Amino acid sequence: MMKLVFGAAVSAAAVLHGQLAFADVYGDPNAPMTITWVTQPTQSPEAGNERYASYYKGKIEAFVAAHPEVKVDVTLNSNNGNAGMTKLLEQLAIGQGPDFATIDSFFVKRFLPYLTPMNDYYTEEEVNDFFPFAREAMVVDGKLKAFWVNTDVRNIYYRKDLVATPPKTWDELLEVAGKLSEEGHTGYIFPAGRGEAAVMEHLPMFWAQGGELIDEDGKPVFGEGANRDAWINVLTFMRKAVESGASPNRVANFGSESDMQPELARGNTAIFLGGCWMMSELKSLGDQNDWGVADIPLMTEGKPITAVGGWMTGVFTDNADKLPFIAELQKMLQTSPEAMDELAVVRDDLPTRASVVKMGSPYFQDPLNIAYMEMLEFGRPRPSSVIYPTISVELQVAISDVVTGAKSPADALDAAFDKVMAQYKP
Amino acid sequence: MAETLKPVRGPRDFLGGRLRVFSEDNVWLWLLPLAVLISFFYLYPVFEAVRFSFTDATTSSGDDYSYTLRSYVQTLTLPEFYAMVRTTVIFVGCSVIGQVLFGMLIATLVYEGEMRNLPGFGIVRALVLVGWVLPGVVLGIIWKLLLDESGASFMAIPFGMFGIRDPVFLSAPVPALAWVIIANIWRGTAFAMILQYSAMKTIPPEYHEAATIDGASWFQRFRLITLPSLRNILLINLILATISTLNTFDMIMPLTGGGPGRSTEVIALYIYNVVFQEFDFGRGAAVAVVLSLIGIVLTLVYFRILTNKQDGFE
Repeated sequence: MMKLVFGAAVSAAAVLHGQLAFADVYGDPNAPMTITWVTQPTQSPEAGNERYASYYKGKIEAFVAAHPEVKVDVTLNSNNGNAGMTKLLEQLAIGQGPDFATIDSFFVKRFLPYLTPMNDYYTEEEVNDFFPFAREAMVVDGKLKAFWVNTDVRNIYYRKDLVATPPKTWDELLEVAGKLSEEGHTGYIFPAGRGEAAVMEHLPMFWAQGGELIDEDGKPVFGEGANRDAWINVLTFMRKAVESGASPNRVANFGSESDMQPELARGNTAIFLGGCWMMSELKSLGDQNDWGVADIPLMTEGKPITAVGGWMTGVFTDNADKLPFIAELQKMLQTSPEAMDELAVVRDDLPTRASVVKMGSPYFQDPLNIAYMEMLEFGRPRPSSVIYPTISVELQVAISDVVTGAKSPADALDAAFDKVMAQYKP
Repeated sequence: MAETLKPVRGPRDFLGGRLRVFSEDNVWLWLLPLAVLISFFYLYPVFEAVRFSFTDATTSSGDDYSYTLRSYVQTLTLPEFYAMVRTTVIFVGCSVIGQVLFGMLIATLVYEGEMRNLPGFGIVRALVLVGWVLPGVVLGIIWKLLLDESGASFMAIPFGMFGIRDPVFLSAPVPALAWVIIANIWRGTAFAMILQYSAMKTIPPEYHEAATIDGASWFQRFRLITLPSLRNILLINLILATISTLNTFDMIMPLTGGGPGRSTEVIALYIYNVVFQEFDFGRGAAVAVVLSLIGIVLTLVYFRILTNKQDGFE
């Protein structure tokens, strides 16, 4: 008898725990309308960071309080960006997609066939408030398909006590980093391993030379003509950085920005190439150094350029009754200037609307954040092309091969281009 | 007067004997639920994987794909595919040999120690199991921290003591593959140890006692008593270790991501990259089929070699 009671109690606890652990429906359970939202864990009420979680939970609860006839069902996608986007695409392909979802910005082209235009819910003035690079991805053939809700930039950081003037060119960078390495510091580190960061952080160096990854029809052209020369120049620079001692061999282990954090936390690095969110992460690890931020050094001094990333939100349902509620919820959560201003403070996200800068937010009292916003003026996103993921993987392999000395820059790039063209389908 | 025995009524006698259909003559009915489960959860996914390998499906194509041999042609004509097969062969070969040998070494030490009533071997067994219990992703992260080349890691400290400032563990192709193999041997040794230790425990202790009395050395006892007794379990160990290592990518992904270059990109990791980074479902399925065929061939080879030797011995 006791065994039966114990077993029933354990089962009930398991079921109850399951219910409480996955309590993701907000609002009256009997509300007639359900809006489903698939989002990344870090951009949800279940985020590990308490501040993030409170923000999203508060907004959703306020929404359902204002609309008792609606309940919001939040489902978390995978933390792994690629796997999450793949899962979402599969769901949409079989008609099982959510009403709206958070989408990685450079995947948006794959989602275009499924996205519902939201022109009826935003004025032209609101749309034009988004930065140009964001608008280009959001509006397709006049249809407002998605919203770019947060972004980031790539730049270099330099220790002000070690570097008097930030380098503007590769030669300057190698010279100053080389001298610092001889003095016992780690001169310059950058991502050069198997990871998207290795490609994205170096795209500005490639674009600044006039290089293009794909042509206007989406065909890969990065391995041809002047584009090929531009990539070979970038790869040669990376190899030189390691050969000259300005950078250590171990940059080949840095596939993502977070891979560099243990190295940075040691406190011996003078200059590093990374993303704008890295400084707050570094400070949270206890770093006490005085860092400056500067534009990415280029082959020759010229107009600055940076790569931008970030997340978007898109609507997949065409249910006319739901669309006004979804539009309102999206504005509360992410797309309005007020939401972006709050998110800038809560998550350190760079906003994608110009008007946010003028709102007097405490976020923009930090000179670093002002610098990032200025960089957005010449920000450029990765091409949202179906073949881009393959291009990225092959360029990661090429970068890794060149930095370790396994292949010459020309051989590595040609191998990458051949592989991409073998997969390319017009 | 003797009591008249009434016939015992069993299930088959209910419903006018209709349940007789569930007799030993109709075994297939008893196997039907299992067959349904295996078909649904095993055969159907395998069938679908093989089917998709003959398509150009992507993760977003839905039902919009066509049947083609392109995925196989692309896979088998790519130069790096063969480099990846070579990497996989080296990874699997060295890992399996290492796991079996170290498993045998630790199992022998534990067995001999217990025979001599030496204390502490229970703890040794438990410690060895740690590598088996932890998920592969966690192991990959742990080994990545251990092999950090910035000088502050556990592995880098001894090099620093000898004045080597920038040791190379994962930032060059050959050392990276070597360390991935070492990490995988560490991971799989526990399972090999458990299997072989269990087999050693089935050997009657009188065999060892008799051999000792006859003057046999430890090595002679190991070679002539222990090793022949382990033959069947070694076959099982080899098969399971090979299949498990062939499918390993969860540890390699956080450890090296397949780099530097493609030096540690085994076939299983390549499948993951093709499907989840390049979204090419058809090609990923084609490579998965090739990997499965490799696993089946290796299993048949093991069976052939080890059962033939056993028959010859008899």
